[in-house]
Amino acid sequence: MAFLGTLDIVGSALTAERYRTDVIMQNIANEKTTITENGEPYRRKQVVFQERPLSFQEELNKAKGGVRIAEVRESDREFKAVYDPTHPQADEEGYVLYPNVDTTEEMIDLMAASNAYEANLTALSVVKAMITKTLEMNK
Amino acid sequence: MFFQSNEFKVMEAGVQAAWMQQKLHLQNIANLETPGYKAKGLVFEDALKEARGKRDSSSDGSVVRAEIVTQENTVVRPDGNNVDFDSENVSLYKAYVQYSLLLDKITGQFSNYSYVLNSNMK
Repeated sequence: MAFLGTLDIVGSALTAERYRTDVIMQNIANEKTTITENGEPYRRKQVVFQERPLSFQEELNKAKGGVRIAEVRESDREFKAVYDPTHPQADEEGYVLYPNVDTTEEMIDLMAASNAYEANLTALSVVKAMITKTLEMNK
Repeated sequence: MFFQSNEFKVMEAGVQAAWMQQKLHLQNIANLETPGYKAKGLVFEDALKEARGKRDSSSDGSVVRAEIVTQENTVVRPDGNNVDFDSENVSLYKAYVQYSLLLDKITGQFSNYSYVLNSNMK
C-alpha cells in the first residue's frame, strides 16, 4: 500500500533520534572511563545524520525519503589531564587522562534529540489521522 | 457518472496534491537535525505553466505533476540546516485539513449517488 511509505519517513527519523540518544547515553556513561580496548581513554562519539532523498518522479527507485545515520564520528578533541598520582592509570608525573566528554554538552544534545523526537511524534499523529480518514472513507 | 466527471478529477488531483505536500513536510521534519539539509517545497507544474502563460488544455487534470524546489533564501542555522519546525508543522496541518475536506466532499458525493441508485428499493 502506497500510503504506508509515508510512515517510513517518520519511522526513519524516530529510529535515528533514538540511536542518537543511545550514543549520548553511552558518552555520559563513559564520562570517567580511563581505559578502553585500544589502551586510551574513551573518546566522545557523535552521530552524523544524512538525508535519504525523496522523489515523486522515481517512485520505483526506492527514493522513499527520510533520514539515515551517515556515521558515528569519534571526537579528536584533547583528553582531560587530571593530577591524581594514586590512580592506577596515572603516568610517571601523576597525571591521568580522562575522556573528552563534556556532560553539559551531552545534556544539551540530549535535549535537542528529545525535542526532535517529539517533533516527529507530532507529525506522526497527523499522518495517522490522514490514514484513518482514508480507510474510513466509504463508511 | 460522477467519478468520470471533471469535478471528481479535480478533487482527485487535490487529494493527490495534499498527500504529496504532507510527505514533503514529513521529510523536512525528519531532517530537522541533518547538517546541511535545506528545507524543500513543492511547486505544481500546472501552476508553473500558468505563470509562464502557456497552460495547455490537453491535460485532464487528474494527474498531479510537481517539482521539488529547495528553499535557499531563509535563515540558516550554524550547521547549514534551515528547517523551521513551526512552519513545517502548520503546513502539515494545512495539508491535513485540505485532505480531509476533499475526502469528506468525495464521500458526500458518493452517498448522494447511492441514495439516488437505491431510491426505488423501498
